[in-house]
Amino acid sequence: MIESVLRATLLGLQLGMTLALIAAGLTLIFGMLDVINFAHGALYMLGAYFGTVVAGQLGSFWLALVLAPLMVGLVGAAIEIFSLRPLYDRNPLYHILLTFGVAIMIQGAIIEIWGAQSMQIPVPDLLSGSVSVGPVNYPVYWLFVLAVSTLLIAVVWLAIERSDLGILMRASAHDTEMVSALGIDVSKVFTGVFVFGAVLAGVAGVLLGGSRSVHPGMGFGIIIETFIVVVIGGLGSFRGAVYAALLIGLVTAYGALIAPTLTDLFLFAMMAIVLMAKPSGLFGATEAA
Amino acid sequence: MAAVSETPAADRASTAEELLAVDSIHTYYGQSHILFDLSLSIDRGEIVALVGRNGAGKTTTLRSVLGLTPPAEGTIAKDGEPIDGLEPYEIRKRGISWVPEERRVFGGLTVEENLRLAASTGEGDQSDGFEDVYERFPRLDERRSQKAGTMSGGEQQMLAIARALLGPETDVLLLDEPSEGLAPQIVDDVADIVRELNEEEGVTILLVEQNAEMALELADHAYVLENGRIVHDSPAAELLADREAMEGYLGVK
Repeated sequence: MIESVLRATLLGLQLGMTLALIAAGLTLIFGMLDVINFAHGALYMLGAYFGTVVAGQLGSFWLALVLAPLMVGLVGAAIEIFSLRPLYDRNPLYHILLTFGVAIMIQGAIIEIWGAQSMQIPVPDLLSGSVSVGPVNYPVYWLFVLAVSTLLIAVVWLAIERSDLGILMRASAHDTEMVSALGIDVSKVFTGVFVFGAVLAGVAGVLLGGSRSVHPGMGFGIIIETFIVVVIGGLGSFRGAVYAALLIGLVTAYGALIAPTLTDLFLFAMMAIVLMAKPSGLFGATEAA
Repeated sequence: MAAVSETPAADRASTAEELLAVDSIHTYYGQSHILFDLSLSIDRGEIVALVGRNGAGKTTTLRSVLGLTPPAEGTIAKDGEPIDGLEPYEIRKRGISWVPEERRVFGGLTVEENLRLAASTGEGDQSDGFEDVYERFPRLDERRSQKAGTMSGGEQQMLAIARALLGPETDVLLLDEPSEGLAPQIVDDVADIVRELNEEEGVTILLVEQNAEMALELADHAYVLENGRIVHDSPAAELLADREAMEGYLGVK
């Protein structure tokens, strides 16, 4: 009993932190650009595919972990500069249609290039096998995923709270026009935030590509979960996204323990309750930065 | 121009250096035409008041200069160089700063963070600017780590002014309704700061105010705006002394 609870806790935290990596970008992009990026799941998926290619061609998982997210960042820059930028002044419906279209295009391109079959990123020997955590025998790779994603989230958190760049991001989320009138080129900030979100999603893609299967449906699969996270945490709130991601991760893991068939229902019910009780999300209104 | 002025802008320009020249601009919000053939001239070192009733187009005039709502027609020049069509951030780098209506401080950021953000766009070491600002606004010094949104209206106004002075050098400060919603004593403080900035730092000021008397007492020159058009252009003292014009244009008895 204790074993399975401990195992579920570890799994839940790992799932939560990787979800947080994806949700962080989605929520920051919304907070600053006012764009709901439906292509975010596709960026995560691209991270996994680029990771597969780099690891396959160069034979190094570590290079894949560094290069693939940067490649996703480049794709993100192209999306922001060439397709979103001309639409900022338009109705948000345009953003949704556009990013949804981009997601479908990326999925189509992936099937065209790599086919529909599943792949996996080969994990280095150092990270294979398992290790005992107390009474539980747990895969080393999963612990690695937990450690890397936690570290990244902590760094991003600190940067947002403390650095000049974080101040700029919080100020832009609050009043973009005022920021531009202070002499800051907000369009560069927008591109930066979009690329940053894309890179984080790419990291999550590589990390999960080593433990789950890499397939063309994974982008749309993850975006639903990520939206639940962002809605519960409060659209635009980084802190909210992290807490909500951990909550969702743990609920999913414990749910699998108690009632595996009802886990999805739990998640949607949680979202519905939050929406009814506090439509702005757990941290939506309080984090007016 | 509807009202005859004794010292038209063109005459003043011959004796002083023109800093900001707004020439025949037309500005729209979407489909609605807000400013009609509006021209203004501001000389270096002046305080110019732009007064008029609510909805006359005062804020739109500032937004046109700042590039936030660019004019559809006409030109705007600073130091003889055209600035219309530039992005707001480029206009700020040319020395035009803004203290917006309702102050618009970043409420979730601390006082220090608000100022750090403003200073970050300046060149080189900005620490001197910081110390100057804290010296001029001791209240802000006391409240460095307080969230800006929790401060009083007067303190937020000081922060909005301080923020406008950091970063690239400010040649001309556009102040939009700085006295709005402030207690009379705080309005006096704001007026003192505006005067000090002008006299001690040589900052040129374009002051938009509903509180016409306060603005005209401070200003060298005055423009009255009505329905998006300049209807009066004279030295401020002259307008202030003209009870009929004050009542007619501004409803001040």
